[in-house]
Amino acid sequence: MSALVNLISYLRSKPNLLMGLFTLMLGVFVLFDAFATRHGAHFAGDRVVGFWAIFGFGGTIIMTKFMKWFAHEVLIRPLDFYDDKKEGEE
Amino acid sequence: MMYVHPALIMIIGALLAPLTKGVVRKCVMVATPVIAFYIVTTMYSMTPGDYGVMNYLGFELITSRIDKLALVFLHVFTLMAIIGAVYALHVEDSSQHTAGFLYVAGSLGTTLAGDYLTLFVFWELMAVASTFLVWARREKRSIAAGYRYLLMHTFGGLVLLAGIFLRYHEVGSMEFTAMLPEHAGVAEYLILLGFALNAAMVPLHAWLPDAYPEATVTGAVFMCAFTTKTAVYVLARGFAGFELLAIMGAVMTLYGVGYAVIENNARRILAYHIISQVGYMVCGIGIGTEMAVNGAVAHAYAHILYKALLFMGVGAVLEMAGTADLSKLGGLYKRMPVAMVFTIIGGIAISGFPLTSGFVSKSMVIAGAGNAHEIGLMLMLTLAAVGTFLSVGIKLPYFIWFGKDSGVEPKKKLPWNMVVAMGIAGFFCIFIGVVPGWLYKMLPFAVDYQPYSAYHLSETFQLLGFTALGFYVLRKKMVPKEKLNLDLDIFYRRALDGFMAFARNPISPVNEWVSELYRVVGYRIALGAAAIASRFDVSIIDGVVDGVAHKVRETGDYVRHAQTGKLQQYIAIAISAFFLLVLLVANI
Amino acid sequence: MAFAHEIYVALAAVVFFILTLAETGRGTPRRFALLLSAGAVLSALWAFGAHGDLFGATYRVDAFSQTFKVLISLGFFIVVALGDGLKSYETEHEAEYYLFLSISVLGLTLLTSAMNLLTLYIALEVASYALYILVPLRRGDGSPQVEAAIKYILFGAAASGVSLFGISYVFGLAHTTDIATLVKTYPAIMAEPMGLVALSMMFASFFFKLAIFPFHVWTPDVYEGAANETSAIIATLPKIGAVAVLIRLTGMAGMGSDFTTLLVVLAALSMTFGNFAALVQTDVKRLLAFSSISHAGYMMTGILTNTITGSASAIYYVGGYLLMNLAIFFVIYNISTDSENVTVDDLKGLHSRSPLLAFTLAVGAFGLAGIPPTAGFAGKLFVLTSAFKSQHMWLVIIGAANTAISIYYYLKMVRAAYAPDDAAESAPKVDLSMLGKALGVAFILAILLVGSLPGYFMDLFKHAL
Repeated sequence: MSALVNLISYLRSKPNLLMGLFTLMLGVFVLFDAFATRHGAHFAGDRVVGFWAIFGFGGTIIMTKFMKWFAHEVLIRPLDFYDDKKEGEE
Repeated sequence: MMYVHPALIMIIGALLAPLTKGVVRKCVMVATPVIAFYIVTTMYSMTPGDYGVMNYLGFELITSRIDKLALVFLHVFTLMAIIGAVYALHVEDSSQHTAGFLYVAGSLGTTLAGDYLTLFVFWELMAVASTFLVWARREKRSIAAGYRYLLMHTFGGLVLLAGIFLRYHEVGSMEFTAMLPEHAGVAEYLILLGFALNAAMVPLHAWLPDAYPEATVTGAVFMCAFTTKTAVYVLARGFAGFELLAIMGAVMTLYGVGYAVIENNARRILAYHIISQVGYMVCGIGIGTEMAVNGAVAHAYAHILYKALLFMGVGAVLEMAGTADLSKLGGLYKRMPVAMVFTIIGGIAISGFPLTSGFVSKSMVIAGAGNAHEIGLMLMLTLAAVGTFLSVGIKLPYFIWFGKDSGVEPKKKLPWNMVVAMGIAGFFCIFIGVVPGWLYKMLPFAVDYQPYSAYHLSETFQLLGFTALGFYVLRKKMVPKEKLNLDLDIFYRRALDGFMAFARNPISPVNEWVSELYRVVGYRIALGAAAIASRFDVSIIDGVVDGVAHKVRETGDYVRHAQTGKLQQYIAIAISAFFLLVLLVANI
Repeated sequence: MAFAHEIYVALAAVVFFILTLAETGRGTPRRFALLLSAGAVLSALWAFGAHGDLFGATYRVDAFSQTFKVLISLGFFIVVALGDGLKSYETEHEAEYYLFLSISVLGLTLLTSAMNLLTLYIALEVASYALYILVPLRRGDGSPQVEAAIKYILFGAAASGVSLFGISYVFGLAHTTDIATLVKTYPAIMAEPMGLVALSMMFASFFFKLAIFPFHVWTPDVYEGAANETSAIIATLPKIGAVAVLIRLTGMAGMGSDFTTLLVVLAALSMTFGNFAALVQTDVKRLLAFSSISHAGYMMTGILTNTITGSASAIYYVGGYLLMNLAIFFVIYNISTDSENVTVDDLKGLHSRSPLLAFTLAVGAFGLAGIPPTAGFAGKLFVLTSAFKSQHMWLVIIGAANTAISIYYYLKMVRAAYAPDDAAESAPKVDLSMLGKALGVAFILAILLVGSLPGYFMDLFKHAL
């Protein structure tokens, strides 16, 4: 375990290295997609190179932005919101 | 060989747990689920069919209907029972063990039930036993949450029972068989409603994120596995091919991840992810093709193990650090590395990383949707997979083990048995991912699917990689807030309040209000009279003590008199009401 | 000897009468009571298969009456065994208490065998008056028990009066008071409006005993005012007798008459009213009082179908109710240290004070709420299925809806028992005697076993009909 902890500590001290590796990895993924054979294509999106990359990134952004907005507008209440309501009892 | 119902083993274990102590109890706790698991493995050599058929009041009860669908669920349920029991081995409170084993017994009994009556009895056993797992935490919030949980489930149970009897009335049989969407009527939909509540189908899901985070550390591990997956099983058996389920399932996947993105409590995040993951299974069942149902079952199998692993990992953090709120945690990788490793294994499994169980099961559902030309559903499920990785794969470990250092120190050492339990679950998460054929062999239909194709790998890499990029871009926005997020439980909380108000206001007064009025007015008059009389008395007689004693008796008499006056009215009202009813009826 | 059981119970009452004359120490009458009530169970079982007529067939011993006698004597034994002695009564009243209790049991025993309206009436009054006396005997100087007693007796007297009036009408219309003859001839008379009115009036005192709406108003105050052990008796034993009589007499109405409609309406109102009123109670005995009104509605549902299965379900139901209600009274009795009333808040932390009592309470409450595999679930299932088969669709729906409502307040008790309570953590543990522990375990097992193997009992009850 300590080796793992040391590795994490090392990586955290080198954010640029981490980012570099991450960017390289993303690049490899898209490149790999350009060469992958499309057997089980279900719809048009499956034929576009990098479609799932855009889908993943876009989905993350939209989902997060939307939920944060929705939570802020509608859902959020103070933590003790239900407490003064006696929890459905009596 | 004589056939023994595995639920019976669990019940015996449940009874033995409080009667034993120390090492013996630990042996009982491990042996019980192991024996049940062994019995299930022997069932594979039995001819599929009905066992343990009993006649009960003219109903033919089929306590065990063995077929491939039941067996795969039994397999994972008993395996999970072993993991859960090992994880809870250090807990001294025997009531938790009893509740946990009875809960498993309920689940096994439901899975084997060949008729609705048997199913219903075990179904309710599950609801009641699991409530005690919530209550066992002994905190005010958990008592209240457990109570709401039980109310919701007994309500669902009643709906189910109503459906069962309506169906019995129509069909004349209690047998639990697959239903066809085109023949479904009120009875079938009532049954579906009862099942849907346990499957946490939106909008009947709110009990789950309400109760699970309030359960005990070990109780939550049991709960995350059985209630919803048993419901998935009964849906797969009874309602495969109901299109409504396909749509609801896809909605569930997104609903769950949506809330998980904004939640702060780690166990509540996981609870919302149960809704999301069960959504995949419900969707697969709703699509109803062999591949989709296979996918749903495989996903249930995989899900039970990785979700348990996640609950165990987060439970370990809760046990050691005393909180599961992300906002209070952070930077723990140095202090709780074991919990981190296992939680991350669970996290990558639920996100569907290649070489994990989630990869080989989730993709089967998604491909099932694609092959059935349900592109809309397929994209919804894929988007939910993005959200899953975002919240459980990245957000949860990031804010617990990395991110800003919270300085939280572990208060206790991690018990060895918890590590062993996490090890078993973690092993299966990887093992299934590496050897998917092992799981595929158990599925109800023959599998013609290869998860490790180049394109599927490419798709997964891109989705996961760019989701991580999205998280990086938005990492400031991701910081969880210490707030409560409204969910639909507000409706049943409010409904309970309103219901009580109704009982208190127009109903109860018929007795209470009148009698209160009498009491107040009667006492007032009596006390007033007594006061006047006593002043008079005191002024005349010197012995105050005597006077008071005298007055007390008089007051008593007066009050009694006032109360008997009420009685005359009681009787008059009762008898006239009775005659009124007789007259009303006589005129009908 | 067909009448051995009756003679035994009468002799037991005589023994208690002698004890009232003798100077006995505290506890002696109870030891006698335990012994004699256990003997009553045995004699009821011994006379189980007996058959015979007495007094020109106005008194009949048959399978039906003997089944009820077993239930009644079982209830008798349990209420005596509930706790260690009468906490709520002065020592000097102890022997009297058991004297009147055994007379009441004798009355109920006679009631189940009465085959003539007049025998029936006399047996009923014997059972009732002996019980009325137990209420004001409760220790303490406050007025509640006296108030409760007055309510109980006046209400009972009024109901009896109406009943007697009804009996005289029935006699006037049918020219007989023999029940066996009435069951054959009375359905024809039901066609006349007077026939319905007479029958309804006659039923009044049984509705009163069973606490059917609108004859229920006495229950909460009487339960609250009476001592815990006495409430346990009032809540259970007379109901068994009432169910027996109602099953015997419902045949008089024939099938599908207006009288059945009246019973349906009363059953529905009882269930609904009792439940809603119980929702907001905090005193456990008041809660049980209102819930008993609701249970009376379910029993009525089984009875009004007027079929073998329906009546057998009602017997099963009242038997299960006996067990579950006494289980909860057992808990109340044992946690009220000074015979005071128990509120739902007093139940808090019971789990840490006495796990056995908490679990007994949980099983009893789950049973009353109708959750499988308890006797309460099977009872509700049978009653509602039989009503369903008799085409009382609305009653089934109302019954099912009421089950859902009732869960709320029953589980409120369970919830309180398992809730953590700082005060209760330090509160003394509840000490149970060996008999108390055995009784607690017996309650749990009985409720679960009767609930999971109802077939045997249903066959027995069907056979008795």
